[in-house]
Amino acid sequence: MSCLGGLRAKLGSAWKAGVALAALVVVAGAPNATYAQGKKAELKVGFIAALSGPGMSWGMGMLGGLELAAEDVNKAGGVVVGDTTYTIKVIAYDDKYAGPPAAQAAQRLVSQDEVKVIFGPLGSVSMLAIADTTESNKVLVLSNSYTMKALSKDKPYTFRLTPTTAENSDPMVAFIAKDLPDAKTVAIISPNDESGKEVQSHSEPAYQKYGLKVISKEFYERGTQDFVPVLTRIMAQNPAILDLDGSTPVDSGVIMKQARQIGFKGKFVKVGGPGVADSIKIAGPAAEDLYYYSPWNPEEPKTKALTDRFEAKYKIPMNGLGIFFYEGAHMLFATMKQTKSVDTDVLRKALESQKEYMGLQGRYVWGGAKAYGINHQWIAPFFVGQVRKGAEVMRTKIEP
Amino acid sequence: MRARSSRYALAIVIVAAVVGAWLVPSFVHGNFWLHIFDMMLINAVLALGLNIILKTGQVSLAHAGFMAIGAYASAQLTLKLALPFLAAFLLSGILAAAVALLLGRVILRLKGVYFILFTFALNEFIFLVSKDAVALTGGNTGLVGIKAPTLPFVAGSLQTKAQFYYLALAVFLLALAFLAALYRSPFGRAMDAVRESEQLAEATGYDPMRVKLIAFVIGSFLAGLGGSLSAHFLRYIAPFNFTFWESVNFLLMNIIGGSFSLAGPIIGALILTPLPEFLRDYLLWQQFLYGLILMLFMRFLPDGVTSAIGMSVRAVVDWVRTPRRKGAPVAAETQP
Amino acid sequence: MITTSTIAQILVNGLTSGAFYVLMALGFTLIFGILRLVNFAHGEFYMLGAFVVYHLTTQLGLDYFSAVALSALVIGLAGMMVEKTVFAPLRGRELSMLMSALGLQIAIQGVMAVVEGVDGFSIPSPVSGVYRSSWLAFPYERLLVVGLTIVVLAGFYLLIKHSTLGKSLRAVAQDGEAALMQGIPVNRVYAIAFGLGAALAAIAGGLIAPIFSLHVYMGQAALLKAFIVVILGGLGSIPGAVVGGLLLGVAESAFATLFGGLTAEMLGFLLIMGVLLWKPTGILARADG
Repeated sequence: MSCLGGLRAKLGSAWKAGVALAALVVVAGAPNATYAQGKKAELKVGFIAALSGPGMSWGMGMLGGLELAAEDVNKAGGVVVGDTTYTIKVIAYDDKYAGPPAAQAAQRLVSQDEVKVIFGPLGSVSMLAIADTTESNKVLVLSNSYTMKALSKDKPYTFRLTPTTAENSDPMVAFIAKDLPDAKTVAIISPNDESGKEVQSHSEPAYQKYGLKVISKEFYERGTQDFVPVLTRIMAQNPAILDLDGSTPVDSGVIMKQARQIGFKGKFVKVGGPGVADSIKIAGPAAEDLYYYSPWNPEEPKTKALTDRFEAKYKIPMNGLGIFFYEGAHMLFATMKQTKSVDTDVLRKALESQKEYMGLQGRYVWGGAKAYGINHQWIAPFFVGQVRKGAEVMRTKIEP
Repeated sequence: MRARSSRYALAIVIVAAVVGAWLVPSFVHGNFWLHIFDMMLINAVLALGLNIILKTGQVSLAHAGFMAIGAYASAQLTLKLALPFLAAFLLSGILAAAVALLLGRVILRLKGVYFILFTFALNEFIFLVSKDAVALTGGNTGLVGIKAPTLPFVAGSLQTKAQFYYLALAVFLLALAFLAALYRSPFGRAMDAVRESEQLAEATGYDPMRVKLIAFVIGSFLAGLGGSLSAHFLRYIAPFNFTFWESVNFLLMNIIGGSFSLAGPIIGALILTPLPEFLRDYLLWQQFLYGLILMLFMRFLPDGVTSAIGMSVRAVVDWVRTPRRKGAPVAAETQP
Repeated sequence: MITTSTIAQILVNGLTSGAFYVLMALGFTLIFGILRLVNFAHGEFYMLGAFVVYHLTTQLGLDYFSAVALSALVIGLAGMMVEKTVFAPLRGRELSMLMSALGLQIAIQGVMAVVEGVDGFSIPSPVSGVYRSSWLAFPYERLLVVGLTIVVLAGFYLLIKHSTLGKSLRAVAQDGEAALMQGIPVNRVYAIAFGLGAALAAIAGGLIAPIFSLHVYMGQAALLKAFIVVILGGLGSIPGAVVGGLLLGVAESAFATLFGGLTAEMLGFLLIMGVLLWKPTGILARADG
């Protein structure tokens, strides 16, 4: 494996050198070619997410996805609009996963750096905090976040790239209900934060719809390390399924381990949030049979090439959010090329009327009119995975 | 005579500062720096509020909690009851003050580290409540759609950062003038006396409990006002705006600026508000740097910037005043 | 819903977290008793202890028990150095010391986030399996934590009561100036007390890491618990830390099992707010560090 990686890296650098050389030849040797007639400019693209603190690895994943997409586009000659050739430049600011710093970062991006597009933020609170600045300046926002409040008719410039449980719960629960016909009862354990309550509000109706009764709903405060008391409370109801909701990968691992220790015999399900590899690392054999939402099929060659490239560049594993920002950035840059415009009103309308986008992972469409009153939610293909003998196995792919 | 001339000098400095502050929006271009200036003024109001509490010797780590009370009150009064901004603004200060009055009678009996620990727990408690009382606070995701401030006799609302700046500046100047007058009154001396020694203060005829309570109520009133300002400035509030770390931040403004004068918290707010913007380039190490700077500050400038400035000014003045061989032009200056 | 089995389960669950709280609170209260310092960085020594054990076991292949002992030693020495460089120059200035402790907390967290990243890790548990009967399930790894905590407590008790160092510690806790007059090297005692407190936190980190998980922000929640316990038991009181820790552990366990996790979280705060108002010096009301 590492041999292959090394080879790829070598090939990659050789290729890069080749491209650079070719570019040099073009620039130096043919100053009067059509290429040189156009103007060159930088297209600044803003990025906001937690780049420090506990949310850092999610933010880094998103930023990496965006930067890799920008790198692709720049290598392929940038974005040509009229007689100007734009090179993409990403300006990234940390929001420490909180509202006021996010608002400040957005203000800086909009009025100092004069960006017209912002990717991110990561968290719902930041998302709601920047809306005032971005909407009044007609700045396009392509975000993450979980809250239902993020998208609405009053925010024509705000889009969301990552699907939430509002989109995923239903098809996923349908699959699980069919796979586990004997299971009749569910308990949900959720962190008491922005994502926990939101996720629970989507997964509960989904379970009811497919004939599973939610018999216990428990919240825990973030930072909790010992879940045994709450799990003892849940076990008294003897549920067939324990849903880990929006628990972090680490917390999910600990919960599974502790639940098995006090005698839980049913199945684990994780409808919200990616990052299952970390959970498996912590839970060990206790994670066996866990059903989980997976944003990708890690074994799919194209996906694997991307995650390998990410890891080689940033020295950290790519995460599930990275892929949406990679795909989403490519989609936006493609739309710029298509419409030959960087005007946010043109782009906004183009996105709204976009029938579909074919990305690395397959087909993406815009949806959400029913849930948010506006079609600004990207609906992506996703997978239902299951842990088998400690490995991630994709059980099914769910297309939008 | 010396006192009079220095009073003139002070008056000139104050007038110049006010005029300078008034002109900021015409010099500062771009909304970003105006945003920072607006935040500085809001933070200065809050830091001043904490200063009066510190003046009686009580170190509160619940200042952000009282700010939260003001922010949520002001947001809901305008959103749910459709009160005009000015009424909601004043009510939010009064509400925070009322809570301080109720709690203060009991908790101000605690001294030193016990008061610190209690207020630490109180801030966490208010934070937890703001997360769980969904009907009042909107829960974890907070309240959206808070309106920009409106004023009587002014058409429209203060939408832009420049318009907001004048509102924040006016509130700040009023708070500052009020505290300056208060600190010079007999009550100011009473607060100093209580801080130095409660027994001594009692012996000289002050009721320490009453003094501390009044200071705590006034400080919390300003915290409530600051909370209201921040809610209508950011137009969005969430529990994470009011964590324990936010309280620490207001305390730091006082300590770094110097808590023994009114200039201290103001200078602290001026330094600490834009600081994260300057640390941005050191993304990876910013947290470490912040901690390190704090420790170095405590080690070498424990009484804050103002005391350091004060000391160096005094040193310079003394040096200038020292009669030297080539006559003493300084003496002429001090003559009326 | 309340059966004997539930009550038994509540008690053993509470005992484990109680043991952990006691270890955290012991060092915290020791440091306060001797240095008059509210050590906001205490949770970071706990985190550092867990990470040292992690690296010693997974990368150097040391066995778990030696790793915990070595980690306590390393963090203890580091604690002494921190006391000498950060806190000794601020002696007597309580507020400056408190703010410095906050700075230290932020700085340690910042460095560790850069060095270790922010993701979670786990340490394989030295024992596995669960004791199960018809009315109780108790994982052996938790039993181990309780057992080791008792061993550490016994050692600590012997140290305080029956050694020259213990005598000096008690003398300084009672009255620093008087201790100085008696010829006790007070400055060294301060450093040792801080080191001892840091080592206790490191032991807590090493013991608890296999049961929970480790990440660079784990100190914050642990610090909060130490805070609550120490206020319950009285600042600077060692018996208070033991009683307070067990009390909080069992009370939280009972509330979480009977009323859910959020109520249990609120409980801690209501308890200490009540105690502070009713008896600020703690429920044992005698501070005899």
